Amino acid sequence: MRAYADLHLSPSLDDVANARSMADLLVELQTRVVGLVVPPQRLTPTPPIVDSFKSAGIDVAKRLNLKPSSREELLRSLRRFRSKYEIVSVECRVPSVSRVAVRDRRVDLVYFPKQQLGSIFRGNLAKSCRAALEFNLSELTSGPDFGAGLRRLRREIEVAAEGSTTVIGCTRASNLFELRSPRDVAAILHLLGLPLSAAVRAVSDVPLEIVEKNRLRMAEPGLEDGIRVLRRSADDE
Amino acid sequence: MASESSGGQPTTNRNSQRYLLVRFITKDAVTTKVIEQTVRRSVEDMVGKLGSAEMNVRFIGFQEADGRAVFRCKSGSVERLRAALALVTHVDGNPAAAMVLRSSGTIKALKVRIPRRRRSAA
Repeated sequence: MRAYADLHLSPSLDDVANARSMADLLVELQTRVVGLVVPPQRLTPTPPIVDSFKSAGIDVAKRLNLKPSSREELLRSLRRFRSKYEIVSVECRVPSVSRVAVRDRRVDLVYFPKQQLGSIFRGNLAKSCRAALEFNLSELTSGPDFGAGLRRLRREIEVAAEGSTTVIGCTRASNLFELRSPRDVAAILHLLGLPLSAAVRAVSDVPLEIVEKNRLRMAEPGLEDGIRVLRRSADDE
Repeated sequence: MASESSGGQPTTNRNSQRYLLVRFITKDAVTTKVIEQTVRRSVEDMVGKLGSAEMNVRFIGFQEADGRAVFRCKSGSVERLRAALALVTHVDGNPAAAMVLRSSGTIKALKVRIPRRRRSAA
């Protein structure tokens, strides 16, 4: 059976009852891994809702949402927080930030909020994009102009396909009513122009690989992609 | 003659259908009629009236106790119906969510007892 992931959940960190009901529903929807937004000041001690998800059998990856207003601020934040989080995403509100965020290997996900005028995923960004482009369902379901939202996401997915950029789908749910089945999110991505196999991978294999890769990096900071520890000398152990 | 279906078409000539088991999460209790109208509206918002007619979505039934419903559509329209259901955010003015729990080629495989809606005698 395929395992699904939703790498963008932002429930209140103190509302355990809400988290528990979300966790129960996520189990029913076959979601195995969730990305929980935890701001740096709440990183330790671990927020109580993390245990609610874990006790339901869901793997929790801590996620940091960076919203830098300049390139320098982005680089400073990445230096400071990268090693503490399993997922780092950057909200690209200004072009100078977008240009750096898409190329920096420390960034896992980039997303382009619809409210910002300068925030557009263009072809030149797609060509050099090493991070995955995040599609949030809440961008489509909230806000007044549904048609404009559809057009914008369709264009983003077209550009991503031209530049061979990886796409992932998330819900950005903060409560039970904003949660959706990952397979349904894949259906929307498919209707927006992504091939069905890529759309299903965008809610299953791709996010799971991101989390796995970063956990390996956190456990073994010296290791890079494609390098595995086969055995250790007796001195190391 | 023996191979003809109840719709009057030979079995081999029938269009393939898919059944979807959908879970509705609502704040207050809702009726079958409201659920049917909400989904119909969402499908029309997404694909228009022509697309809706092509999808051939049929509401099979709804269990008010646990908020589970069954829908049927053409087998090539499953992704469109899933997307339309995912875009349901309100039912009867209250926040709500709809999510597909399972999709199957036969209603029997969904293994739920949903009271079938009776067709009106008109």
